[in-house]
Amino acid sequence: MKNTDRDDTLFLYVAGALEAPEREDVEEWIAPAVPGVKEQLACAELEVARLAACQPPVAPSPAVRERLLARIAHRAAPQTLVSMPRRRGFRNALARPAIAAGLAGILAAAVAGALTFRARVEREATLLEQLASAHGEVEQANAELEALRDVEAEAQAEIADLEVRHRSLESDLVLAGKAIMVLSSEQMQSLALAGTNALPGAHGRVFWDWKNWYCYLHAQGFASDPSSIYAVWLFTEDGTVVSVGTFQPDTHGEATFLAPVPHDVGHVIRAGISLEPDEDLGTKPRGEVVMLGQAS
Amino acid sequence: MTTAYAPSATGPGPGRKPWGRVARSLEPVPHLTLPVPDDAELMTAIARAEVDAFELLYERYAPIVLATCFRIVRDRAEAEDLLEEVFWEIWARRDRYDASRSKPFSYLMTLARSRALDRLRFRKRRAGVWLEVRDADRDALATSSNSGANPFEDTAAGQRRIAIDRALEELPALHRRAVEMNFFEGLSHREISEQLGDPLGTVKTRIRQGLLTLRKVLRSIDEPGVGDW
Repeated sequence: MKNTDRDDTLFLYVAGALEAPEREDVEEWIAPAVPGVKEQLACAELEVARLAACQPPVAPSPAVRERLLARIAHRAAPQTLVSMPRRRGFRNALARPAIAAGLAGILAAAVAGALTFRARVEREATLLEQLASAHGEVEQANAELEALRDVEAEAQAEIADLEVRHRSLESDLVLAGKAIMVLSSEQMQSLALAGTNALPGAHGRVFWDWKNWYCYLHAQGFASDPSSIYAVWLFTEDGTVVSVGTFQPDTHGEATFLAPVPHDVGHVIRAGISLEPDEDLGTKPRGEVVMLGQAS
Repeated sequence: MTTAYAPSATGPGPGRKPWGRVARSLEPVPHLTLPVPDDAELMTAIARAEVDAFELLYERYAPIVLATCFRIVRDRAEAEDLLEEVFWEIWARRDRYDASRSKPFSYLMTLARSRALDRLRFRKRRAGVWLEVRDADRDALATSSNSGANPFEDTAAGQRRIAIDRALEELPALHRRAVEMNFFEGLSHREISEQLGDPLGTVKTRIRQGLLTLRKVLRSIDEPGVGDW
């Protein structure tokens, strides 16, 4: 490695800008006492220190200095006692009082220690009580939170049901509006439907609105099989068969059906309902005709 | 006769305090200048548990240690707490300083930066958030910075700071941000890459180039006098 490269790498290493594996390489390289490396490292450290110090100095509050000096004084106090010079000439004279003072000191320290220990134990007990109380409060709050979450879930489910019902009612309202339009039209015609041998008890009525080109059907007496698909057919006097659409009765065997009809439909002389195998309507009924009506 | 105290090899005489605080209380002596102990002499005295030397070192470097800590942790109270811890470590572990390994200023700043970055990482791990400088702290900092309390700021350190500021400003914005995030905020290359959305190699190159540019600026400035700063 060139000296310049080594210099740069050391600087970046000291600045904390190297990461593994480069950092480990440098550490491996500077570990042995290679001549000159120590000086280069010290130089890099000084440069990094100067870079770190490149902002305006900030005067600290006097309290920091006071705290530091108080800590130093506190630590120095016992050392002063220990290093107090002994003077042989006074030793005998001072021995008993010194021992007594020492014992008193030890006793005082022991009492102080015991008191401190007791205070600490009491404090810890208080803290433990507070902690237990806090735990209890947290658990209670969690239980309340869970209950509130259940209430919220129920409310959300109710809201979802209400939204579905709302959409259904809106749809019914639209349907009812159109049914009223058909039924109140001055160009309305209707014919009664009666069940054939395939569905003897069924009956209903189909309406046409020649002004708005809508067909409205209400019938009942269907089998209460929700999978059954029925189709509405119109038969004109020129022999044309018009498919209007398909429907499925409700669970009570009733059906209300509304659909537009082609504008060029001729004079309708008959209407019928067939049971279809599926929703794909052809040009004529594929299944059995279950209701039929003749214009009078 | 009153004489100025030299940072003696034999230590202070009875009743005498060797360093600046006592010396300032002496009557001025015509044609005599008080020698100001350099950093190495102060550290030697601190190793002998001389509190006055410690106080002088504190007076000399506390403002810049505080500024360095503040720049990293961005909280005035926490920076002062770090300042106390750094200087307490200087005192309590005074036997660990090895003059043959590093200069006192390097030792002090390495300690300050290391402790501040440790504190910042601890706080980020704990809080999971990046703390911004509070307005009150920013105001307090501005007031303190403008106090002009540190006489060394007028000399080489001031020139150095201005030059580094200018060099930082002249770095391309992305280089500058990468250097700040790595050097002053202690983020790893990967963290910077994730935060800036740049490839890892690009981040590494920007940090290297940026730091080496700043060092070049540092080297172009004259050596200071008494302190190493």
